[in-house]
Amino acid sequence: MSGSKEKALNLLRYLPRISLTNIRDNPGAKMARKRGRAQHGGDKHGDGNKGSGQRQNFMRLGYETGNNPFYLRFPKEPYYKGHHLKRQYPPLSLLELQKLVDLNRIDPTKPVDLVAIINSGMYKMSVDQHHFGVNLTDEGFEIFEAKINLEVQWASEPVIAAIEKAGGVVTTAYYDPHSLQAIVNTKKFFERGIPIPRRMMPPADAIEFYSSAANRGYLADPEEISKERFALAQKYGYLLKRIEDDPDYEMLIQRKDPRQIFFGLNPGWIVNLKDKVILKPTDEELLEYYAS
Amino acid sequence: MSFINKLLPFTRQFPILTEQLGLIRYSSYKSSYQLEDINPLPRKYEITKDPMEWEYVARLLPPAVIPEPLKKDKYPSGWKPQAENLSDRPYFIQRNKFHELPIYLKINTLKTRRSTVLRNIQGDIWLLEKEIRDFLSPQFFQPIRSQVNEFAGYIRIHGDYVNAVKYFLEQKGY
Amino acid sequence: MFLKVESHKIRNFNNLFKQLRISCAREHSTNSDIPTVTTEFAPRKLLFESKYLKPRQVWLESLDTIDERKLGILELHPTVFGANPRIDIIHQNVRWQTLYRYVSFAHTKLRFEVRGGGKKPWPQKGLGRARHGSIRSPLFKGGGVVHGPRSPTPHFFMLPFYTRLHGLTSTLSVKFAQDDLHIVDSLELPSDEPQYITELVKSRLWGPSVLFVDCSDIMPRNITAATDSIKHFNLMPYYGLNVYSMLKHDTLVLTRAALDIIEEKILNNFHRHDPSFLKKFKVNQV
Repeated sequence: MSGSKEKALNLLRYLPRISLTNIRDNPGAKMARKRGRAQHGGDKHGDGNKGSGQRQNFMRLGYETGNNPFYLRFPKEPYYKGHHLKRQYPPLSLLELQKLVDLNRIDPTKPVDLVAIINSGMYKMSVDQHHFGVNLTDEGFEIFEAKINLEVQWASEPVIAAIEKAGGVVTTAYYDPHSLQAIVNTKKFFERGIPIPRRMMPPADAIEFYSSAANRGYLADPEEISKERFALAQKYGYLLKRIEDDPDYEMLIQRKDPRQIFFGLNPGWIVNLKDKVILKPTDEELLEYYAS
Repeated sequence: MSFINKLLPFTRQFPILTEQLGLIRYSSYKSSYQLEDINPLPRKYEITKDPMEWEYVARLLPPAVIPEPLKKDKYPSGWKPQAENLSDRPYFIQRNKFHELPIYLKINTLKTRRSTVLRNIQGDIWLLEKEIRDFLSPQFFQPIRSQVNEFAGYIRIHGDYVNAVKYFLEQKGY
Repeated sequence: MFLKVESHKIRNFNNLFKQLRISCAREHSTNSDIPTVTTEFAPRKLLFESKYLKPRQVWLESLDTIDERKLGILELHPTVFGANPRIDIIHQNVRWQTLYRYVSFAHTKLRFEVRGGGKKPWPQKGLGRARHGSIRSPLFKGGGVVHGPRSPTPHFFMLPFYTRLHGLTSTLSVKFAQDDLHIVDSLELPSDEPQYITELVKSRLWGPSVLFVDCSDIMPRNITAATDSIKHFNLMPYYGLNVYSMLKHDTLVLTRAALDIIEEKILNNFHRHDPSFLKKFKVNQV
C-alpha cells in the first residue's frame, strides 16, 4: 500500500521538471511585516503618553524609586553557604545503564568507566557546574542484569548489591576537575597537545568515602572489599559466585591506578590523533613525577 | 607610534634594551621578533606507534555513528527491538536513529495542553489512525481527537496517550 | 496530451498515464538490448537498510559510446533517493544558498552625514515659521533618511542542519523521480572533442544542461577538455553537491564512486552520534 511519499514521487513523474523557477515555500510560511502606520500600530507606536515609557528613559531593573531595593536588602543568605565548594554528582539510574547496555551504546565486554558512559552520549555533565561524576541511583534495582566492570563516582548500598548480584563488579573512584576536563571531551583534550595529567587524591571530606570498602572505594583494601562483597550478598540474599571462576575474570579484575585517568594510558603521555602516535617522556625527572 | 616603529629596525639587535626603554609595540609587525629556529627541546621524549596502546586510545573516542543494538534473547531494561518481517504490513513506523519508537509528548509553553505525536509513519496512515482511535476510545472517557498529516507522515493526538500508543505499537511488533 | 484509450483498458487514472509513459519511452528509446552483467559490475551494498521501503533501481550507464549502453542495474537507498519531495525545503535551501553570501550595498545618509545642516536655519521664535534646528533633518527635502538601508548589510544566516540535509535528499529524490538522474561507471570519454559530448547528451535526451559529479576534484583529461568550452556542461566533485546546482542543471550524472560517497555521507549524517555539531553557528568561531 503506497503512502503519500510514493504518491508524491509518482505525481512528479508527470509534472514539469522542478527547477529554480517553479518552487515556493508553504503558504503561510512567510508573514508580511506590518509597518507602524495609521490607527493601529501608528501614532505613538505603543509607548503611551509622556513619562519614562514614551521617552525611553526607564528605571533600572530592581529599582524601587529610592527605598532600599529587595536585591540589596540581603547581602547574603545562609542557605547557599559553601555552594561553590560542594561537589555534585548528576544521577544515572541502573535502569538507564541497563538500557545503554541493551542498546549497545556501552560495551559490557570492556571495563565501563566515566569516559565510556560519557562517550555513549546519553549522560551529560559539565565540569564548570561543579559536577564530579556519576551518581548511580537505584531506579532499576529489580531489573538490572548486566555483568559489567563498572567504575562510578558515587554508589549507595542497594546499587552495589544490584551490580554484584548480576555478577559484575563496581568501584567508586574520584577524579579531580583537571582530570575531568580531559575525560568529558577526550578528543578536544588530545588536540590540546598537553600531557595526560596525574589524577589527584580526593579532598579531605571525600577521602573517607573512597577509602572505605563498604563503598567499594578505589583506595580501599581489596581484601576488605571481598569481605564486604560476601557480607552484602548475605544481607540482600543472593548467591555470590567466586569471581575467579568467572570466564570474564580478567576483564572484571581490571582496575586503574589511583593516578591514572584512562585505561592503558599513563599520565605524562601525549596522544597525537593526527599522526596516530603517542609521545612518552624519557626524562628521569618527569618519569619520577608522573610515577609518584 | 609610527616614529617608534620607524626607529625599531635600527634597534632590532638590541631587543632587550628597546624593551626596557618601553619602545616595543607587541602588536605591530615591525616590532615583533623574527622567527628563529627552536633550540633542542629541554625534555627528552620518544615516539611510539604501538597498535595495542592505540586500541586504548580508540576506546576513548566517541563513535561517529550511533551503534546498532546486538541481537539478544532478552533485554532487561524493557526495550523491544523492531520485528523483522514487517514489509507486508499496510503501514510502517520507522524507528528513530536511537532505535526507539518515534512517539513524543508535546507540552505547550503554559503547560496546559499535552499532545502525543507519532512520527515517521510510512504507508497507509489513515488506517493506522483508525486503529489507534479504536484501541484508545474504549479505554478513555474523553473522545480521541486526532490530526493526521499525510504528507509529513505524523499523527497528533490531543492528550497524553504516549504509553498507551507505545504499548499498542509494541504489540504489533513495531 | 490525452490519448484515446478503450474504456475497458482503463483501470484508473494512474494506469492511463503509465500507458502514455510507456508509449513515449518506446518512441524515443534506442535499439539497444539490455546486455548481460559484465564482470566489473558488482551489486551495491546499502548502509542502514530499510525494513519497509524498497530500494530504488537505476541503470548503470557508460559514456564510452554516443549511444547509450546499459551495464546493469544498481540499487539506491530509499531514504536518499526515495525521500519525501519537500518543495518547501528545496525552496528554503535555494533561498539560503543565494542569500547567505549576499551583501546589500544600498546606503542612505543619516542627518549628520548629509552635507550641511549645522546651523539653525532661522531663529526659534518671532518669524511665525515652524521651529527647526537643521536643514538636513528628516522632515526636510534633501535631509537625512531615518531608517534607510545602511551599507554593507550582510544577510548571512545558517539554515538548520537537518533542513539542509533533507534539502539534498528531496532534490536527489526529485531528480530520480523525474528521470533526470543517471549513474555512470566513470567520466572517462574516448575523445576530448566537445562535439562528442554534445552529441552524446543530445542522443540520450539528457536535457540542455548537465551536471557531472565525480568522487574527486581532479577529473579525467578528456571530459575536462571537452566540457571546458561548453558552459552548460559542468563538472563537480562530490563535496560540491548542492540543491541550487542540482536544480539549475536539467540532468544530474553521478559516477558510481560519487554515488557511494554521497549516499554514505548522507546516511551517516542521519545517524550521527554526537549532537554538538548542532550548536549555533558563530561567525568568529575558532
